[in-house]
Amino acid sequence: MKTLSNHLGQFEYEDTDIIFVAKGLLGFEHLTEYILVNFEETLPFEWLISIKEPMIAFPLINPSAVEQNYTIELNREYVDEKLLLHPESNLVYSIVNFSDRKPTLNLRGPILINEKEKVGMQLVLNDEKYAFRHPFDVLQPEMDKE
Amino acid sequence: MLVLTRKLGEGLVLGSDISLKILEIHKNQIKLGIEAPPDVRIYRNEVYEQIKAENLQAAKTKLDVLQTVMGNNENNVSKKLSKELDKV
Repeated sequence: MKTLSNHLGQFEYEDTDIIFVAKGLLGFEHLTEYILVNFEETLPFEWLISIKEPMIAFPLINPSAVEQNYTIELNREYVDEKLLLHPESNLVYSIVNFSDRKPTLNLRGPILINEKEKVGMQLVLNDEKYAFRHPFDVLQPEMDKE
Repeated sequence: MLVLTRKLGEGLVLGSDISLKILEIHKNQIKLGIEAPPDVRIYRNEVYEQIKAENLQAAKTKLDVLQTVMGNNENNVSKKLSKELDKV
């Protein structure tokens, strides 16, 4: 068991939990090992945390909750072949950006993670109907609704 | 920056396994053909830059920002409540 701590808290993981992102995320090509974590306080968001630089942590969400008809086509030519071995265990995530007044999803650069093979990659979609910043509402707890 | 002039149908070779060819020229647009190994990722530069910028911002997300958005930051709620009380 190993531990990692950052501004979000302390997390325990095994080597077998490590997700390899061979090419890194755009702008983070030097970071190739991550863990995917979630904890109650920030659900439904999950976090992709770099093992080498734990302060680098990307909030992720399953985009289908926001954009129901969101589909991505995998192009065999450029997708990590391990993502094609067990396509049924591919999870699609969008990175969430909280710098605007409303949180936004990056639907143009989804993260694909294969749970079984423990590999991931960031795709770049050419489809212009998907926005870099797609605003959405986070479900608010009752007390905030009035 | 290396600057080379090419004509329609001409191309460039980068290293040993990447080649570019000018396929079409139309006013202020050119069509480029690219041949590269499958592991070389090719992006339109404005798309690449935008996704990179999004990644950089998201990577720095602080917990309190997220909790404020989610409305379950206790400090935040109590601040709101005390403001309400002040009004009364």
